[in-house]
Amino acid sequence: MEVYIIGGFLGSGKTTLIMDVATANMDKGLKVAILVNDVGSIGVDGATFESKGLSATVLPNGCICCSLVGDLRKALTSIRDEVAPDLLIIEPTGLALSSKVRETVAPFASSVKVVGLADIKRHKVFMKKKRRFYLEQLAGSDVVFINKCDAADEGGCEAAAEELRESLGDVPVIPISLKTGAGMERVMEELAS
Amino acid sequence: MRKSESADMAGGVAAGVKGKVLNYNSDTQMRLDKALLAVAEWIEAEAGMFLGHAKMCVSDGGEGITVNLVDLGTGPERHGILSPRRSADFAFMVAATDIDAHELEHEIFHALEDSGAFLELEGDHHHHHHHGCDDPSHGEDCDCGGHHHHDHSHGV
Ligand SMILES: Nc1nc2c(ncn2[C@@H]2O[C@H](COP(=O)(O)OP(=O)(O)O)[C@@H](O)[C@H]2O)c(=O)[nH]1
Ligand SMILES: [Mg+2]
Repeated sequence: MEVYIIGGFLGSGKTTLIMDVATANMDKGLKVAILVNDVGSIGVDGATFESKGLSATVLPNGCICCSLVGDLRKALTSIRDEVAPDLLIIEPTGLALSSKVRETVAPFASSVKVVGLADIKRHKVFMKKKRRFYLEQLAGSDVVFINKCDAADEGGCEAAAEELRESLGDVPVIPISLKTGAGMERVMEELAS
Repeated sequence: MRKSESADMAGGVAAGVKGKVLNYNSDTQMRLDKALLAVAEWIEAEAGMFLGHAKMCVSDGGEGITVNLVDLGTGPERHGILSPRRSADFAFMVAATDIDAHELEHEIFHALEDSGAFLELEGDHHHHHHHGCDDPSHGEDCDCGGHHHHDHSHGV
């Protein structure tokens, strides 16, 4: 099975992106599974996926980049052996480091794609106040999408993209809007590549 | 990386509750949205800014409404609809940086209590709940952002 890991800070649009990507791949006839891990013991995203007709495996109460590594392995084993999807999409918590999740997932997957999702509405404040965590969370992604560009002023998203390219090195950084659908072809292209 | 280095960087915590909402209708949803807003506004006052995600899902048999609050300027954003019904499943959680997890938990309980919505929360001990702060599962070399887990479902 192929695996996508959709990382990024709390509220950046991970769940929204996953619903779009899952639906698009299911429309192509692929079998898609979703694995989600909310911060803390109470999850909301699992119910959100379910209420949109998508079934998701929920890993509650912990974080799959550290304390839940064992649980994550178990879930990956059972999804691979029992569900056997063509594609598994993983949403780690908004505080997780995707690069850690990749290490655990790699042995289970035919290929792993790590997506970093940034939020243009909070990009400036993150660069100022949470710079290290923000960059560390996006680091190690195969591609970074700056989301919510519908809400940015002219040129704001491109400037932020340039800033992230400088900080993250050799990673494509692409402005998108999951709300308007701007950049979605690029999203699908990057994921399929 | 040293222990909790990224915990210092992110400083994130989370708290939440789940259970049932009774006599659910559009007025109930409005009350719940207000509770979400109240918690986020408290965080902004407390931390200087709201950097996080407050969200809830009210659902029943494959239908449901999700409300997200990430940006106080935008306010609560609703996705989906749920028609009025006697009872529905309810989950409400807030994750944010630069606040105390215990206080966050109390704020959530107060906001929901003040909302006037009819809620049956799991492990609701009306503030007599004890807090399990030292999550033993949160390992020594955790790099997850230093969030603590506050489990309200501690054996009612
Ligand atoms: N303006 C705007 N809001 C968006 C966009 N994408 C997602 N959102 C909103 O951001 C909020 C958080 O999204 P969610 O997918 O739950 O974020 P997650 O915490 O990363 O999973 C929701 O209210 C979304 O509707 C976008 O492109 N533009
Ligand atoms: Mg999510």
